Amino acid sequence: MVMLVFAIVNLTNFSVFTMPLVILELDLTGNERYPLMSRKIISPSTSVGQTSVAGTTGYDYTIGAQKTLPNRQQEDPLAAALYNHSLHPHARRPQVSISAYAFLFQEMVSLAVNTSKSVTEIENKLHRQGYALGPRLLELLNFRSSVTATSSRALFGKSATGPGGLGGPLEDSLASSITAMRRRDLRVLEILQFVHGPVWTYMFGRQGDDLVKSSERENEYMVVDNLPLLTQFIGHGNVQCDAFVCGIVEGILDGASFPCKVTAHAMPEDQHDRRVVYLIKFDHEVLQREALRF
Amino acid sequence: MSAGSANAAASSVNVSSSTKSLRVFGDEIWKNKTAKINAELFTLTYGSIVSQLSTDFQRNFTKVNEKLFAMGYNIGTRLIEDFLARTALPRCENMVKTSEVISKCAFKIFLNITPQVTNWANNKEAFSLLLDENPLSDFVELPMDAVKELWYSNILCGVLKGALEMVQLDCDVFFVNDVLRGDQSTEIRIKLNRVLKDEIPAGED
Repeated sequence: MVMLVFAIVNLTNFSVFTMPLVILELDLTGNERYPLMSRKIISPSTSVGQTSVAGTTGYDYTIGAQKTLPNRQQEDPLAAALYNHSLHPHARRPQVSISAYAFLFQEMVSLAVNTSKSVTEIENKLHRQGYALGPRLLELLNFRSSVTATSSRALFGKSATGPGGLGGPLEDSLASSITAMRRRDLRVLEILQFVHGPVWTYMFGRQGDDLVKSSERENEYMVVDNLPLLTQFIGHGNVQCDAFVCGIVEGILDGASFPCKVTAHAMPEDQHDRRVVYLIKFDHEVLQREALRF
Repeated sequence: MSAGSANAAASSVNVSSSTKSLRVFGDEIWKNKTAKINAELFTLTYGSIVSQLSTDFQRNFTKVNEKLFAMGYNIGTRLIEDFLARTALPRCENMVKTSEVISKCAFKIFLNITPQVTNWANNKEAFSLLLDENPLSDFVELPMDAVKELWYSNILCGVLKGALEMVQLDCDVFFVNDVLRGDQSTEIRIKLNRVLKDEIPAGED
């Protein structure tokens, strides 16, 4: 009940003047008098069946839980296509050519170069643009990692009979093949392995080449990439264009509540003259939390 | 427009044999000769570019459109080199052939899509590309203030313009419709203005 009131406050932007009223209601609910029960509650689980159960309030125990379907008439076709499209990686166009990406990336860099006065500013711009992708990828990849082997086999058993990935939207829905969400990464090492494994594989088609802990400083870790995919056509210069990838990684780690700073450093080795080390410096609070036993 | 599409049907009969081989040719290059990258990363990267531009130009979307076009033009003038090196295709004898090459080879090789070629003008010098799917605009929903003005994928027009200009075809390339703006289809119009002459640049004689 309390949660519901909060939701209403957030959705309708109650002005400051109505706030005391809401708080009063909160107090009343605390007194177990349920004043809200006398009103009509818009509950997501019954909002579709409202015409048939008009006058009832929220969940009707005589009927039980009801399955809801989105009201398709009211949806705008684009939004419908957008939100009903499966997030399953196999239901989408998997790849584009790397030269198309390289051209786009080059334009992004030159856009940053033309609107900046210093090297730091350029790198900051690229970093910021990557950072915006981080939280989105975190959620998407977590979701996809939650598909277990058995459920995904069931899914593909079905779609193998249908025409590619374009079968029924329900059958191909990613959510329907997830029984339980993957546990959130709580440890520094876990989240780093997530970055080094699934994130790297998603972006570059292979795992990171190495994951190293700094021997000098507690809070520093390094992800090593021997051949950075995105910047492979960009010459050595004083601008570190991998700042974009730094931004993505930092966005992911920040989104997972591991605040940090990520920087890229070119460190050529014998065989890999384009080798880049992504240095991850966690904030102090991360280490403090890590020291707790739980 | 509808008369034009009837023409297109007639012309596609004439070139059907070459059309088919072009399609196979494009597929072949895509499968065997192209290094690939995750399409979603491409989509997300383009998204962050457009949103950066919207911020830079204080949501003046006319300017964003122009800038995207200019960026595309830069890409196109260099992309044609990559395209020709990869395909080694000879010069196209007419716009019909050009349209086939654009849709079945160029779009296939770079973006892994094959737009439909339709709506031919009577003089066969202007046509439309219908994009059933668009890797630039997956996941995208335009905000209210952008719906009327922004051509989200305008970079494509720039690329086409730049690339065609480098093979002596001076064209106008522009978006007519975009599903992001609530239209039924995504349509790019390509209109040939003139065929440029091969000329030695000034001072190079």
